[in-house]
Formats: sequence, structure tokens, C-alpha cells
Amino acid sequence: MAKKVAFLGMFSTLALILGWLESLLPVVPFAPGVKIGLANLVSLLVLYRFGWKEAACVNMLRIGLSSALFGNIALLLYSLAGAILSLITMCLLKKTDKFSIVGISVAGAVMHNLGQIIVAAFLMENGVILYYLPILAVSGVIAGVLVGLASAFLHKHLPKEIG
Amino acid sequence: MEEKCKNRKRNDILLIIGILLGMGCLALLIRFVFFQTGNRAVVTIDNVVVFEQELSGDCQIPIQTNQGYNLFQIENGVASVVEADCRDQICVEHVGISKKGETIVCLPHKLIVEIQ
Repeated sequence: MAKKVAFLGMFSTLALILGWLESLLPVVPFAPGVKIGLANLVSLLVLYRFGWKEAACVNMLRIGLSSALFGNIALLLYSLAGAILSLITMCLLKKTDKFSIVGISVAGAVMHNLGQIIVAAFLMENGVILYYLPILAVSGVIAGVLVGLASAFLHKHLPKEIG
Repeated sequence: MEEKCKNRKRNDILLIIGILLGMGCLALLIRFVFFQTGNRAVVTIDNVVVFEQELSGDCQIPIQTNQGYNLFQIENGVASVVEADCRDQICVEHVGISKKGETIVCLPHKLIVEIQ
């Protein structure tokens, strides 16, 4: 139990740092809002090594901390909507046992984009922002594949004691 | 085990193709059904229309409200935001817009430029 808490704490920190690193990258000029989603790497690993409850905990910690440290309420709402939708999708897909970690990562990334766009549409009370979904989703697929491959590699090579 | 791995890989690829096809259709739908070259830019802040401007003439209009400052511009039929004092600068980074339904959004200032 103590070991598990220590590992989860470590993973939360890692997620926080990855999120921060990503915020240092420049905004893509033609597609603002496009991100790699490095933090999802940690979500996937925790989901595979520990389970959905632990993954949810790590995600909530990351979002709470990064919003408190770097953001505001709007950022919190965006992150929460994206993370919850994405995590639920990933858990369900993992339960079906029909997809590899890459497919689950892609689905998670696209649902993350969808969640954020829906919140943006609500916050702005304007549906036109939904037009932006295809661009975000395609970038989500690419980022999801990359993050999924990285997670698969880590899942395979990280020591068995973790999880 | 081998069989399962193969199946998963196939399912992954089907999932990705499905998403891309779906989004491609959505993009085409948006492009051809909703987007036609518009003739004016409508600027709203917090869902209140601030002004409308024809795309045919060049202009630069500063928008100063208690939400913040944005400099709106129309040049050669393309509307853009060239300056802003918001923290993320996403509206400034956004490329110019000229097609019906296209938008530039400045979330921190609740500002939307929409082509109609």
C-alpha cells in the first residue's frame, strides 16, 4: 500500500512536469490549441499498471495542481472536461480488451479534444467553435499514436515492481 | 496470444481510420455546406455584438473594453487580430479569416470575430 502511494505520487509529479514542459512549447501558428498531450502517457501507464481508480486519482491531482500553480478556473474546467471524457473512454475501451495501448491512447486524445471543445462552446455560448473539431481531432490522432507508442514501450520495459 | 495481439492491432487501425474518415466527412461538410466566402466580419464580446465591418475595405479598429485590448484588422478581404494584451496570444497567432462561419476567438477577453 505504502509502495503504491509512493509510486502514484511519483507518477502524479511526472504528469505535472510533463504538462509544464509541454506548456513551454510554442503555439502551433495555424492551429492554436494543438498539443501532444504528454501527460496522457502517465495516465495510460497508471491505467495499465494500477487501474482506473488510480489513473483517475493521478489525473485529478495533476489537474488540480497545475491549475492552482499555473492556471485559473477556466483552465480547470477545460482540463477537467477533457480528462474525464478521455479517461472514461480509455477505461471502457480497455475493458473490451479489443484494442492495444496505441488505439486506447488515440481514442483518449480525440475525446480529450472533444471535451475541451464542448466546454469552450458552453463557456463562449457559441457553437461555431465546434468547426474547429476536425483539425483538433486529426492532430489528436497523430499525438495519440506517438504517445501510445511511447506508453507501450514504457509499459513493456518498466520494472514489474511498479504496479 | 499472438492472434489477440494481431486482432488488437487491426482494431487500432480500424479505429484510427474510422476517426479520420468521420472527421474528414465533418470537415468536408463544414467546408462545402457551411463555409462560403463571407462579406462581413462581426465582432462580439461576451456575446454582445460590438460592431460589424465589411470585408471589402481595409481597416484597423482598436477594441478596448474592461475585458482587455485587441486590435482588429481587415486587409485584402481577410480579417485578423493583430495585437492583444491577453496572456495566451492565441487570437494573434490565428491566421486571417475570410470564409463564412470562420472565427477567431480570444477566450480571455470573450471576444469572437466571426465571418458572416
